[in-house]
Amino acid sequence: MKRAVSLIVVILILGFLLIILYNSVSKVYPFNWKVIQKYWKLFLDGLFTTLTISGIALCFSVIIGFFIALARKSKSYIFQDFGMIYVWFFRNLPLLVIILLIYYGFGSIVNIERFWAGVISLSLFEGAYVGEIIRAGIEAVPPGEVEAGYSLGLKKGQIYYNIILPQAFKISIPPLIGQLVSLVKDSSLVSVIALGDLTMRARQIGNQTLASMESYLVLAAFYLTITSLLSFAGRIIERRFKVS
Amino acid sequence: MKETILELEKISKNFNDLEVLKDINFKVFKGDIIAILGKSGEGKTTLLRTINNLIEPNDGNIYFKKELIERSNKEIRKFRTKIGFVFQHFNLISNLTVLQNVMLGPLKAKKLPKKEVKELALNKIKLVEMLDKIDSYPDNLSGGQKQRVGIARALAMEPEIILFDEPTSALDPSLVGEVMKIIKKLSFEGITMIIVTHEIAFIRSIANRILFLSEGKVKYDLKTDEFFNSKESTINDYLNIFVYDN
Repeated sequence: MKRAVSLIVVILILGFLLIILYNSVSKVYPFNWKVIQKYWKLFLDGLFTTLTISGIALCFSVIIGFFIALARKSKSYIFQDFGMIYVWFFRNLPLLVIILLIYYGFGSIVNIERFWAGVISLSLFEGAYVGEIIRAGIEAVPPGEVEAGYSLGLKKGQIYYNIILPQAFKISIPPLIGQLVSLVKDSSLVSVIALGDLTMRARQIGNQTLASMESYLVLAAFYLTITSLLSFAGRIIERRFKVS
Repeated sequence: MKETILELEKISKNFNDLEVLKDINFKVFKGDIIAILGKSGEGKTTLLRTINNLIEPNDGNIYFKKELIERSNKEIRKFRTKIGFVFQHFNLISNLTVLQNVMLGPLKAKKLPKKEVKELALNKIKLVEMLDKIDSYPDNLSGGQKQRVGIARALAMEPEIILFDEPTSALDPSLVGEVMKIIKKLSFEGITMIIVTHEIAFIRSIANRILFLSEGKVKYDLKTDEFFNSKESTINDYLNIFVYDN
């Protein structure tokens, strides 16, 4: 109860400060919210693109991450090294550079649509992080349980399927949700290749109408809403997957 | 002459420069209850683990019912389905219920039909007196209960022999008794067992043979009475450690 009261108090204080800030800013900057009303549909269009790109990239990055994790845990040095180099490469490059490299670099050799260039860049990039998350999940499964599987005469594949992966998946859920939130935020970078996501739409509206403050505030509100909803949904999923 | 279940021939194991097992030889006959005793660090657990290849020996052969176990994955897996293993730290699968833990081996490794496996599993769970907990997860069980499920899991494979690796040493003193009671119950049913333990009094009451390990070798392989009445100084020194315990 005390906790809730303190939260409400903090929100009220912050809200009050914001109103003061807004009023003082509006003396020098005439807010024009009609612009947002007028271009509302463009925002929705951008929202749709952001969600689509993020959704598809999420699926791909989990698939990539899964195989990278398996490769890194494999007995074969070739697979291990492949996984290690993949992670090294994509974790040590800025996403922006990857996007430019794929769209403008590879795009000058083969024709890649903006949309897919964005999806591929995001998937490759996030895949490296997801791979490390799943690998950590696999390593968190107690080795004694794996031994128990062997002592029963199970095959390695059966041990992965019945013992390791279900637990690794459960352990990975919280960090995976964090990664998904990152992915949504990172997707704003695809606006540099003129892919009509939320960020690009906000920039368009801001530039054309000169209502930059308004459109970027709305943009920020959109991202905050999406990521908060994802975190909230994530917490529910987390609770559902907790055994016993 | 009783039937030979298991024979170890010239088993040796090094960890880098450390020779843990040197030239281990012994036979296990049907119905034997063998205790492996010896001071800490003499390789008792290592020996038990080399038997089912959880630790691969550097050298030597293992025969199961006079047949040599080839060191191929397939052969080893087949062999493992015939020897149960009970772990010091239970090693129950934490995302599976008690019943699922016990069913896992027969269902996946032996590929028996589910209905049959369930009946078998319930039988073994009944034997270890855990029927009221079949839907519980390991996290909600006490150490003693976990170990009883661990024993049921080994039994469900209907093995020819069960290996116990210090089955009571991770338990609260108050929980040791319930696990010993189950092991004793198995001894009455004529199940062949090899037990690594420090519970001397318990061993004296159920084992028919004692293997005493020293410096990586089987120094003595004696009948239980002979062992406890022995005048050998190594044995007496060892047993004296426990005088104050009991």
